[in-house]
Amino acid sequence: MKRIVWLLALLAVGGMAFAQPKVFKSPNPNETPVYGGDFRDWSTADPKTFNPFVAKETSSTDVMDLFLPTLTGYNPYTLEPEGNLAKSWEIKNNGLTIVFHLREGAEWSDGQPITADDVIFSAKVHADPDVGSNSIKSFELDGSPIVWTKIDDYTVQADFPKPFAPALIQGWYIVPKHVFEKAYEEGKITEMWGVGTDPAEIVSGGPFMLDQYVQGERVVLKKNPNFWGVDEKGNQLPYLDRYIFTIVGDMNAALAKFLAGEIDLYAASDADQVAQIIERIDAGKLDASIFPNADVTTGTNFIFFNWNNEDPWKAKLFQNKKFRQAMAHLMDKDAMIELALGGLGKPQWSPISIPVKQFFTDDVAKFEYNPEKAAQLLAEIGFRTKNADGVLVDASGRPLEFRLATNQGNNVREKIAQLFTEDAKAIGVNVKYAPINFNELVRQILNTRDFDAILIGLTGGIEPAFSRNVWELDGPLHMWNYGPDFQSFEILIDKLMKQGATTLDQAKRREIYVRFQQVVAENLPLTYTVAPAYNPARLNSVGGLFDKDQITSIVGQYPYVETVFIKK
Amino acid sequence: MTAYIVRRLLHLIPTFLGATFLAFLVIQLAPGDFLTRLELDPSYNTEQIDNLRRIYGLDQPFMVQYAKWLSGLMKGYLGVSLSYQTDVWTVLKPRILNSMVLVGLAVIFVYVVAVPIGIYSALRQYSWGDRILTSLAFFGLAVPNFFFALLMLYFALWLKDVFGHEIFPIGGMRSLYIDGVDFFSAPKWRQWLDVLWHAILPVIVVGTADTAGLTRVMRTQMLETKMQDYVRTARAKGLSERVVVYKHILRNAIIPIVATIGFLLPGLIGGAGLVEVVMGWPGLTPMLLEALFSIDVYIIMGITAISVILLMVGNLVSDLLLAWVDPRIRYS
Amino acid sequence: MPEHDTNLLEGLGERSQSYWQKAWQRFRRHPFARWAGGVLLLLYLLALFADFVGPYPEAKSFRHLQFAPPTTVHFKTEDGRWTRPYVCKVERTRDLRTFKLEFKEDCSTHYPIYFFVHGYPYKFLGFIPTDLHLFGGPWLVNEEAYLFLWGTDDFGRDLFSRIWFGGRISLTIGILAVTVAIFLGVFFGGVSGYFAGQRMHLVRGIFRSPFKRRGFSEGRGGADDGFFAGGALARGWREAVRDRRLPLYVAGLVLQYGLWLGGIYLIGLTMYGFLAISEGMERFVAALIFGAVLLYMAWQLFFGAVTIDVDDLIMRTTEILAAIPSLFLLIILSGMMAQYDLPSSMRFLLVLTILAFVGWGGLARNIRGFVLQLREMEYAHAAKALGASDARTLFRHIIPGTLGYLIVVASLAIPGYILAESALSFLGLGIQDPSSSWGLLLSKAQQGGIAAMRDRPWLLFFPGFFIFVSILAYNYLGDALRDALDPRAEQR
Repeated sequence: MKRIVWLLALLAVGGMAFAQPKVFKSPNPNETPVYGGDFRDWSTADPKTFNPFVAKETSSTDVMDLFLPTLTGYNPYTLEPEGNLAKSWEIKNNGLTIVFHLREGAEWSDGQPITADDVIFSAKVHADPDVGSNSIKSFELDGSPIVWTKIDDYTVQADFPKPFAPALIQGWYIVPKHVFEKAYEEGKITEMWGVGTDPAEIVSGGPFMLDQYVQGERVVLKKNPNFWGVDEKGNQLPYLDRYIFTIVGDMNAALAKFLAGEIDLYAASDADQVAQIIERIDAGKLDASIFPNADVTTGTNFIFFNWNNEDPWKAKLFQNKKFRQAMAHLMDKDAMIELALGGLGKPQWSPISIPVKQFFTDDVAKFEYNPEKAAQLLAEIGFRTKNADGVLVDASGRPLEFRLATNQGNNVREKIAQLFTEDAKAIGVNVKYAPINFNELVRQILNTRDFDAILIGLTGGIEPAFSRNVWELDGPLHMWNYGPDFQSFEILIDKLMKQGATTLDQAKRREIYVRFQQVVAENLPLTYTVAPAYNPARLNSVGGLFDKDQITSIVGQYPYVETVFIKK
Repeated sequence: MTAYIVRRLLHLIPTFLGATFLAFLVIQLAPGDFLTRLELDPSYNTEQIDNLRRIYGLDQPFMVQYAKWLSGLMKGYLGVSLSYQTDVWTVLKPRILNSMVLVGLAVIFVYVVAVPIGIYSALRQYSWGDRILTSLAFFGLAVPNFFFALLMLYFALWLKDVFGHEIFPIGGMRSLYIDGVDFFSAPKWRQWLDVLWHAILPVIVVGTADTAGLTRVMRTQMLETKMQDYVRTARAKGLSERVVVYKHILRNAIIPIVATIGFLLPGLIGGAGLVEVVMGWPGLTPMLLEALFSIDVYIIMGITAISVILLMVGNLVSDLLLAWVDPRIRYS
Repeated sequence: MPEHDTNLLEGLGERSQSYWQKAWQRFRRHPFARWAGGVLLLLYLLALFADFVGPYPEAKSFRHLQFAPPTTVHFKTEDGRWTRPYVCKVERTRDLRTFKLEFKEDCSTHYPIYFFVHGYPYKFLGFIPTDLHLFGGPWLVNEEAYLFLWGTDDFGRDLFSRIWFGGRISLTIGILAVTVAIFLGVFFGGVSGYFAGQRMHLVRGIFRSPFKRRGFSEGRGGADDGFFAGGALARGWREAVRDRRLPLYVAGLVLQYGLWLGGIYLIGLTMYGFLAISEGMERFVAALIFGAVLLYMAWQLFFGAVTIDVDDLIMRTTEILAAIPSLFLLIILSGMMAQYDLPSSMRFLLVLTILAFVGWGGLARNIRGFVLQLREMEYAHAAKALGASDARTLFRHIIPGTLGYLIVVASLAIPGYILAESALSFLGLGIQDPSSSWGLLLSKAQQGGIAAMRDRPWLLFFPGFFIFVSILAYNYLGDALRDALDPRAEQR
């Protein structure tokens, strides 16, 4: 049996001899990978589509990542750009032009070669506003288009209107032109590859291909024999036979499945879950490992105030830096971690998430929990006495009170808001807290602007330039202040963000973003609270995973799914 | 009677229009639409969202959207789901079938368990058996379904620990493999057996609360009927207790329950509730919840339309049943 | 007809006294019911005096003691002597390997429990300021040691106190909501079943008089009263004044115009929408159809008379109401409520009332089923033959026959409403933390999943227990009540 495997591997290598496969580095050179086996992942929701031009949510893109290639991505070890379908690239013209060289010999699962035509076609469809692709923003920069042209069958060129630092980690899915072209010309491209499509019709250019999709239950992908990747020894990848997503809508139910050994990886959400997993491992009922507090997640939770409040008194108050600093002093982050996150998490002080190591800095102003300091700061801005209800009042006798809202149903945020409300009330700041419907919250932030303070979060990511919508003055998510009057620090942030996006030198970029974090932490347009911990757990039967100290919440538990294997 | 049925069938049209219109109106009045949740995502631009709103037709006036949906419906087309970008029926069909399996089994379970218990409780009113069953029934009502489902999952896990292999599956509806063969390659009867095996725990969870309710109703009905004059007459005639109970009391006691059978029809497709989410049953509820939270109007409207029709037909059926089991009842 | 009514009433009045006496006798024959009544009374009293019974205020939190288990009350000193009950200090730590919480008792100092002591200040019954508590001690107010009889919740708040505060909501609002829902269900179901098969004029064109003799349950037809709206309206008015049915007349008018004009408006809008998107032949045909419908409706408005079965009307309404997606309704409501600064219990009551107005359909249908059956009973016919009015026959003779069923429905629905409040607080419409209610306490306890049940069972047990006990008590009480109120029961 083993010999046949070797023979097959040799044959595969032989077949790829003239091709230019990507070599996937395995995280642990001491392990001996074996072929075969099912990898059992889970997902909270069904994929909505298998069509990359329609997909809007991670439940769909998580599946697509396994069967659709991108040109480039980031290296899971260094977080630097790395080629996928592009074997190499040249940056010319001070960063205005990038020429990509594709891997010759790479094929779709139906045997057709993957060429520059597929890349150019995919770019064209993604950029078409009538299609509505999620990746459309990767094809324009500040209103000017990014032009993609074919040089030859295996070379494409992208021309940027100005240098764009994260250009190489903007992954967008490449689809087979010969499958999609007809539908695109008929204007029916969004009808392709829906959940009702026979999986056999779905062509793969990634490590796996769709095998079956049972609605509400699971997505099964099988190995793509034509995949263009090999391991360091030149063996054809992936090792796994099948990749299975079980759909479990409830966290507790997913935990039960992990405890029963029916899913291979799991990330515990709080100390309760961690304790259950540890207990079961200790009892010898589960052969697994767990790494509590291995990292923190990239999601953020912050409070911000409405500087455009209809009430000029409130608007003036919220614009006052000392007021915001006083509010920051009222955030008991230790209590938030213990009570809202179940003991697992870290305080956050600045806009860049802790796991984004290449830009994150801890060297920022920290307004730690200190009610006396808060009271003192409030006294400095005029709130010296309390009224009969124990609420601070200013010289004119107006009590210091404002409304705080967060979105319903988010347990962590509701608890953070309650803790803040309690602490604020204790020193005489009357915070009126009420959770409201998420859509109503969005309406208040973006349209009616009739809120005082809101606790909300934004999805974080590896690249700060992708949050320009939040920080630039004309950004649609410059939520605390839509102008027309801006404070000098906001203008500075705007400048830093613009610089950061167009600077190509990594060291200089870091400097810019460090400065950015310091300015935000000092002036608190958004006051950050706490970030939940990432507590990954895994069955010990899975190989090809990161060791404890390599794990980051950005990359996850393994560098490449291609090199994951099931120990025999 | 024919005239009555015809009239009722004619009523289907305005009722259906009124119901769907109201549902559509309520959904539209609620703040936000399908794209609102993207508006707070830093990776989306305002223009991008406006463009999507145009593509999905969400920028059109409410009445235009409703009329569009309605005219699609006339052609037997439930509309295109916003998140799936596929025909709603394609998405709904497998879910409805799965839910029907679970709810159908649960209904059988409920009637098989509840009716005998109700009869027993009524015949032995205030006996210890009655009191214990009453307490159990209310315990069943006081335990929320989804928590009960979670308990069952851990019960299955515990059984697995004790016996070393799975006595009950830990959630789901179909095994990945049956005897080493992929589920869909296994013989049909093995597939059905596998689904039934998966259904046992969810059916118990779904059935418990309903059993509790039906037991109480059945008991009261029996008690009420027990005191009727015709029962005394029957006894006075010297009929055996068995005949009195089954022919006179039970038959009359069950009439109002018959009247509610029509209600089961929309319930059959409506999904079994949060149990499906917790126990990983791929029914309608998980998808409906997703649709509700993402405001996928056409999925919600599709389900509404189907259940309104089933509700109306179910009501008609139970009205006819009612007149059939009790000849005194008349509608005109 | 009115004179008959009074006679009948007097007759009943005489009999009812002995009826109630007998009912009371029958009621007292149920030992379980007496017991249940006692338990309920106790629960209501404890909830009413929650400030006094509970040692801590409702929202008082001790963050460093989150999820503390019930405090052990010691009755013996270390050397085994009986002494006044006392408690010890408790320290909370988290084991950093197993991630479990550990609570260590430090009994170096004893904190004796006293009864009727001064504690946290509160307002007795909402207006008498006092600080008297059932039990506690000076150490409790100074926060030297803590007394959590039933443990603490996720913010370190005393569950014992919160149960009694929560009882105020759960023991009252659930019952109120059930009452509203049952009232609506019985009214509409009763009317629907009683008048089933009798057609009445729902709306009449403005060139017809709105009501000729009796608006309700009138047979088809009736002569036209003139061609001028004014004449018809005036005549209707005169008749209404004569028969003292003014409210009915006005309601009829409003209904008449509201329905037709509303209908024309809606169809017109739909037509506008349809025309905006269709083209060519489709547009032409649609215009024809819609035009015909509009014409027909306009004609009906002026000259027509639509007779309809109330039964059909009410039952179809339930079907329409059943289609409303309640989640969206609730979201709309929460948006509207957010503008007003209402206390959360008021808001909750309001929401439940609105929900009752939408959700009476199922019950109404069942009641209708009963009424269809009961209205053919001899005693119903007899009442009618003796000249009782429709309303009297329905509500005094027929509806009581459904009492047994109603009591069961109520006792089944109460737990539903108690638990519903937790679902509503999720949408910001129910009781909001840090306020307390049993449903909220229970649902919060469940969020931790199975870990919550193993590591902090008290959070699940106590609210669950009290929900269970109160439902059981209500049910036994209801059972006995049904027996007592059923005149046939004595013949057993």
